[in-house]
Amino acid sequence: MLKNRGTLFLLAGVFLMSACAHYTLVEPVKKDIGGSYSVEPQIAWNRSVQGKIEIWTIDGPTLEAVHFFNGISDGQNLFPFHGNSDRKAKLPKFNKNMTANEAQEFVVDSMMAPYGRSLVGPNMIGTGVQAYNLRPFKFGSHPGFRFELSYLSEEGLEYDGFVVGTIKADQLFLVCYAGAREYYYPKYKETAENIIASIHMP
Amino acid sequence: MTFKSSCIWILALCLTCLSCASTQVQDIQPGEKPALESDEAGLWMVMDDIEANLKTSGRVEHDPELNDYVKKILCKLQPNYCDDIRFVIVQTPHFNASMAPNGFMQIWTGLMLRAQNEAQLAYVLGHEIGHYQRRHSLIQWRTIRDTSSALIFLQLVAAGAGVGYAGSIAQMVAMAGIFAYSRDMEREADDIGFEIIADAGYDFHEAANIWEALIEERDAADQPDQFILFASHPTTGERVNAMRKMADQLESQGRAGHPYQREYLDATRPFRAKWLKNELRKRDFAASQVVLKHLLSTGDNPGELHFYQGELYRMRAKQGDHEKAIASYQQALRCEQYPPAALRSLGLLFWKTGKVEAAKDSFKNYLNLHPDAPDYEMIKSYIEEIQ
Repeated sequence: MLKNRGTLFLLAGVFLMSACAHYTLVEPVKKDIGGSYSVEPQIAWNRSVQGKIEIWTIDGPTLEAVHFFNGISDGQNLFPFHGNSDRKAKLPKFNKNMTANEAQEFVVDSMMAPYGRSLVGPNMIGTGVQAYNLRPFKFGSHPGFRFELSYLSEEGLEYDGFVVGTIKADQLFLVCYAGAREYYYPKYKETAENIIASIHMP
Repeated sequence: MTFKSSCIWILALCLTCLSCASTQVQDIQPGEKPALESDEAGLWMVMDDIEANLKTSGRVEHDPELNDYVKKILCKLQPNYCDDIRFVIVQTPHFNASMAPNGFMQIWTGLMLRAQNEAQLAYVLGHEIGHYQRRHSLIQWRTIRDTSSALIFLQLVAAGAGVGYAGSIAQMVAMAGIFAYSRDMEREADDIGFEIIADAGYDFHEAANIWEALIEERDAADQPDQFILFASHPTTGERVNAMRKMADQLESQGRAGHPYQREYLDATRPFRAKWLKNELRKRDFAASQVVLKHLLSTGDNPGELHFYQGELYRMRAKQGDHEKAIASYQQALRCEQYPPAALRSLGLLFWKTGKVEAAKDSFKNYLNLHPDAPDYEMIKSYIEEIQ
């Protein structure tokens, strides 16, 4: 019986490990993001990369994380989706001619898409997403935009966040910092502000 | 308890009760609770946990006035069961309502958006009350348990447990699927819902009207299989005809009722913009077009509806849609009231189509009308860019 239980625990462990993203350490030195621009992290972060999305976190991605969306091309979804193709067709798609208002709508609609989304960016799946204070922002030396976010997770946890972005060479670049409103968002907000202030995009 | 652990409880219940014998099921009485040692009590326990989970979900609409309004309708329909039936309004843009065996009801905002009057919502709630009163989920549970369909039941539970981040809609659909009723049960719930609304003084013609509107929407939809309600409620023209016939019979007996449209529109108007925005996020624009058509027929706040008609065209962005969107926004602006965002959307489309002066005017009007706009600085920067 004990042997069987041990086997079960082992299998469960293997299953859970296979479900986890692979993380590497980001040293607090100038860091290249997807070959498109660089930032200076100032403190060490844990980094995972899934396709065009890079996620940095300290306490865990559901508590707080910086998401770097690197070069979303015309016609692409914000979050990768591997399910039913009919449902994928109903997800918001980036358009290279989007204004800042439409890019904001693209982010919010992607977060709130009523059909299933992938595991990527678990703290960027929300309900009742409110975007506010959309304003111009210099993404490195490029004209861009910034807006703030507040939303609830499916489980009802309150989140705050902000997004900065720009469209360069027909591709959308976004940096989003979001975290649980209680404790975690304010904990690293200043550090995240320093990251976006350090963006260097040639 | 999480959804997954609830599903494990259901599995355990299902497996341990395979040998139980089915018994005749009586209607549930007001205030009645199942005996602790019964399989029904086990079913209630699982549903109590799911209810507790769902009540803290980010999708629940907590607005006290809206919840009070729905509660009043439920109590008006069945005063004796008023304390037994609990509900949550779930912010999901699909048409659905479901009733768990413990008296816990889910009412989705997609249903509330589509109902055109209180009588239509009351009919759907009455239908779900019918399932509860007749203990349909318990009968269904025992039928499944005692037949080879148990495997299908287990698969449904497993599907529900395995969805993970795929979204709680899938979880809710899986739960609704578990208690998908037979056609006879649906017919019985239809009859009960019909009788309940007629007795409560509602216009009983509205029962057929809401089904008919939904069938029209399904027939127009890009993806009719995405109609969650039809997965568990096989709605057919035959059922609509049966309800029309029942309504005609009652009318011939001199019975009449009230749709309570004004009351319904007053209660739901503050939420309609949010529900419409979520409706458009489904990106099934042909189906949403039918929803908008029916809402426009109420004549309530047409400025808002023309604005969302414009938003539909703008988001769909097929050939000629920009022009249609501009026409819809302009129609909204001719109404007594309209969302200031109509001016912003109009400005953005003018700007994109090279009509820069018209764009600048629209943006300026937007900022004048909406000095607290959440995108004030951005729109100001557009004006500066145009100049």
